Amino acid sequence: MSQIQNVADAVAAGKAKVVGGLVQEALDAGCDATELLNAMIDAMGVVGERFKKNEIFVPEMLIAAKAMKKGVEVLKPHLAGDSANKYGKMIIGTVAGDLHDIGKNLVAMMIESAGFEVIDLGVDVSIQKFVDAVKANPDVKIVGCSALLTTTMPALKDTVAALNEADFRSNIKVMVGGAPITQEFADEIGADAYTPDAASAAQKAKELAS
Amino acid sequence: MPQTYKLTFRPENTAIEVPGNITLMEALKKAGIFLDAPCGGRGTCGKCLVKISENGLDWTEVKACQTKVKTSLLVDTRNSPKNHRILTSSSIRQVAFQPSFSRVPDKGPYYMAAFDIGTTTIAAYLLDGETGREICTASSLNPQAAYGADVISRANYVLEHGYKELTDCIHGAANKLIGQLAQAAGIQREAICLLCFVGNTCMHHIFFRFPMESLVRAPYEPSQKGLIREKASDFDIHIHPEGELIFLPVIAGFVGADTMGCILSLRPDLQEEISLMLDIGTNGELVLGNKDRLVCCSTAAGPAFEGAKIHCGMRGAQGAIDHMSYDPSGFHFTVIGQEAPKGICGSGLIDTVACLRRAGLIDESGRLLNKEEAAALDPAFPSHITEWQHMPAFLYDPAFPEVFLTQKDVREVQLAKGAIAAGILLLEKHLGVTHEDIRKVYIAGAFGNYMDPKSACDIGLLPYSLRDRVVPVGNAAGEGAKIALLNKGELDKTAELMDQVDFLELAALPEFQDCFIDELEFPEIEEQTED
Repeated sequence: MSQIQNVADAVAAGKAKVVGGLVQEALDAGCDATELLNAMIDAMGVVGERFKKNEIFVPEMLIAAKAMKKGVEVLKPHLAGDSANKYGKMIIGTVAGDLHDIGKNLVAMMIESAGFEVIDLGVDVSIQKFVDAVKANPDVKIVGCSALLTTTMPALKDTVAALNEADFRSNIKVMVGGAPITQEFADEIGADAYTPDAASAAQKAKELAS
Repeated sequence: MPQTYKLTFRPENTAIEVPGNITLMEALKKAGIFLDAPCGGRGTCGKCLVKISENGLDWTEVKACQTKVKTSLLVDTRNSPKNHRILTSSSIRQVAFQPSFSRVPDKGPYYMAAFDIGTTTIAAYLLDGETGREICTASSLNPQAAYGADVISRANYVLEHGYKELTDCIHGAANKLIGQLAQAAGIQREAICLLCFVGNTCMHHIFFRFPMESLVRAPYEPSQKGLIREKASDFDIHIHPEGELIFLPVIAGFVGADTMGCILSLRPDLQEEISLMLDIGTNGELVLGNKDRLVCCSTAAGPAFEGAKIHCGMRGAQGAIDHMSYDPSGFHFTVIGQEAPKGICGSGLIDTVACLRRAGLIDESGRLLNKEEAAALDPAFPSHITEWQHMPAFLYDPAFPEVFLTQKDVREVQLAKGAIAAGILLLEKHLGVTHEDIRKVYIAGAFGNYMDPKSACDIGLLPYSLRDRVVPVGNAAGEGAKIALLNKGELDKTAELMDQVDFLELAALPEFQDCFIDELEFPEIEEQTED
């Protein structure tokens, strides 16, 4: 199916302007919508791999994610029910006291591109806000918390502790990240996963949700 | 009695007894030897290497922060990073000599001293109290470096362990420098009657033990801002018994009294023409404007230009590649102290990236070409391309295979320069001006003095159109501290300037992200015009 390949290539190359048209062409040619979605998700996986290897950088990754979004917009009406978000829902936010969100936004975009519906709570998110968001979305699968400053790591710890004590804990996975965060710290505070960059975060989220 | 061990330090030739199981780093601090530890002792930066030996014959190199003392040892720190090139002189602006002494000694000459407490280094200047003439300068590393490289790790240390170590450390360092100044000038330290300090807000808060919480959590505000004038002896600073110390006001959480010093040394608030002032360190502080309005911001430039987070990065010390050029005959670089290259410092880093852009070895997106792609450009290039962790890396000289620039390093440079470039754009937007309206770009600090403005423009750290308007101003912060000592009117003015300068919190601006991401790419290389 060369049309599917064309869509995947356009996503990987970040051609946001043409992706929509290519998706439509592929659909018109009779390609299966789910198959198209999977090809696009895989293309983003390749983009993520190249990012991890430093072959491409933040701007190229963002451009690819934007192209992905354009493609999904065209595809959505052709997908059954909620299957555009094949992996389910994720809640994400930067913890209390921290206003930094570029890294968190990147993670949100990559996770969305990986086939999730992402609910972004923004920056300086209180523990209560995280907890309330999970309660309001009982089908949420993953909660991601970010801290950029070493001084807000304690807030991350408290946030994860609160999530760990909540009665919904067994239904969710908790992911953490941010410049000063390490795997050791994630283990120490009882998070389920830590990833060092946005591409690995998307990969990990897929593993955790499937 | 717990077991103790004797540690003998070289080249100082001092010895101390320490209990077992403390780290060598802690022992060194006890002995008053402060090594550079950018990672704060987590064992990740590998900058605190020392040589140890039990018998004086067989030596091994270890990380001081990760090595516990288990036996008596000889410790050699000769090759450990302690000594840096630090700026201590500059003269930017002349002011009338009208100092603000509360009292002066009845007889004999008297003096003043200005201090710029940087996160990494401290510069001190001794001035004649009767003429204002600068007599001598002294400088040292900030001993707090042993508790982390950046202000956030220092603040964190205070939040976790209290003020004692860091505050004592900085008061001690000031006393030591006062001693050095007095000795160099051949005077008694008691003849010094007035001190003026500048430093970033974190240094300021640690100096006075001001609460740190508000500084490090949103909205990142200082707990105290105003001009401070106190008796020096209240802070264990030993000068004339009645001597006073002044600390200039701070502007915001990440725009401190050092920026106030820079403003005082340039007084853009008096100028018709619009100027941009940058002080590039771990944080880059920017001030833009003229007599009508001034606006400032702080950008998280990251420590890349100070050598941290760069694989072969180092500060501007012996063995650092500090400049590089590229012409048809190839790449040429210079090394501080004319030694074999050991690493790359900030000015060398910027030159390298600019040269690689010009040579075509780094594309606009920041990707470093691999060997095959490099060969297609020039048959001489492949010998400069190596591999590090499956990524291409640039080798300065095949004869020194340990010194190279990795693809990841290029990404760090992109992040740092993107943050500064975005800061400049957003300040301009706030004032409603463009690059073209800026008549002068003042670059303060050591890095500004050594960096090549053309390279800075080539990589997009500074707007290309401003490449002929860049003026290095040396240690403008310290210069401001001197001006505050020399002229009472200037000193008093700082209390007004503190509120006159608008502060822009970039992290809170919705357009910051797009602007920052746009600025991550490298600009196109413009044709070289002969000057």
